[in-house]
Amino acid sequence: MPKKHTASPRVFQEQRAQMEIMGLTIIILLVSIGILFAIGIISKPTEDIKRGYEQKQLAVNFLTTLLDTTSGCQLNTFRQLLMDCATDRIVTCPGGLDSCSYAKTSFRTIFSRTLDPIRKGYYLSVDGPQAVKSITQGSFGTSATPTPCPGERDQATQPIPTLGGGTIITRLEICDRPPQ
Amino acid sequence: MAKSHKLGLRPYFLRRIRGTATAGRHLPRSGQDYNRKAQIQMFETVAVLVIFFFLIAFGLSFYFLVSKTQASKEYERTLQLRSITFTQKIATLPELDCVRVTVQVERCFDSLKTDAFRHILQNPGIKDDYFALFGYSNVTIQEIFPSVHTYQLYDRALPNASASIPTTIPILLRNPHKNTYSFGVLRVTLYA
Repeated sequence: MPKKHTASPRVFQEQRAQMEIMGLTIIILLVSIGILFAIGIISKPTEDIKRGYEQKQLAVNFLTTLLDTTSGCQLNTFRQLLMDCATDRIVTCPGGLDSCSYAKTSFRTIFSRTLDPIRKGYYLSVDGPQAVKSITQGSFGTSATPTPCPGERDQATQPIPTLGGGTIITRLEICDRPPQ
Repeated sequence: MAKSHKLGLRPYFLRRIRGTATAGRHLPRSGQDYNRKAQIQMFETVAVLVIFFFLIAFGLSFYFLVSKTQASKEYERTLQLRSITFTQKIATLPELDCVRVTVQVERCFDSLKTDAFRHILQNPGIKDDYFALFGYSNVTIQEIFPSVHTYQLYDRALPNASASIPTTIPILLRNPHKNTYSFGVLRVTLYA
């Protein structure tokens, strides 16, 4: 009978050892991949639905509510005061202030009572004739030259038509203040 | 030849005992060596089984940890959605809303209705009737401008609450006598 060709025991043992090590390596690789996946899933931050909704709604609702508020200056709303500020400035408010100054001061009071206590930063910009630009204010930068919110922010815009055919653009940005 | 052929067909261990299967090769010399080899192989099998069960236990613990994390995130998400829904429901309550020519005005509360509703809710029986709506929560309306005033509408805290979720939305407070609108905020805290 012809002799069958077989590998020597030593070679066979070496091959078997290599196969076992390969198997162990594959197991270790699979376990490592599984661990990485698990860590990725566990460490994924929770989606903050409430914060996203609240911040977006806050900017829109805040600006609309602010403009519709009765100012206390001859029963005009702030929307009407801004229109007067952009045109003739015939409205005289308590304390002898004109509509522009009164609106600016009142806005600052409202922001200090609402957004400041909850550590929200803001930037209210009023764009139009030069007189209304002085109402622009914010919690960043200086009182003379306020700056927009740095980083992530939510904003709302409201155009206000004036009698002269122009438009005042009011924009409110709300953001989180950096921790002190 | 026939004998060797017959021997070639016999089981390996018989050929080992007779010494013919491994003629010329290096062999263990006694029964003790066979035992040792068998023990080593048993040990290998046990080690593989131990590692196998260890891996299974490891995998299961990871699976439960991930499931627990997912469940708690889902619970938080549900709680947040519940808080948003609840706040929107309060903001459109007919007991508080402003109505202009039978049309409900958005984000507006009537200050007289609010005050009256606050008084009504001080009655314990009526407060219990509204538990189905308000649940465990705190509902406060704060007038900010031009004057400052607070209306504590409803407050029922949950004992040992694990979470409290506050939500604030700005609203208008209408004074129907003067037809003026004050700036206010609705603060709703939901307990869970």
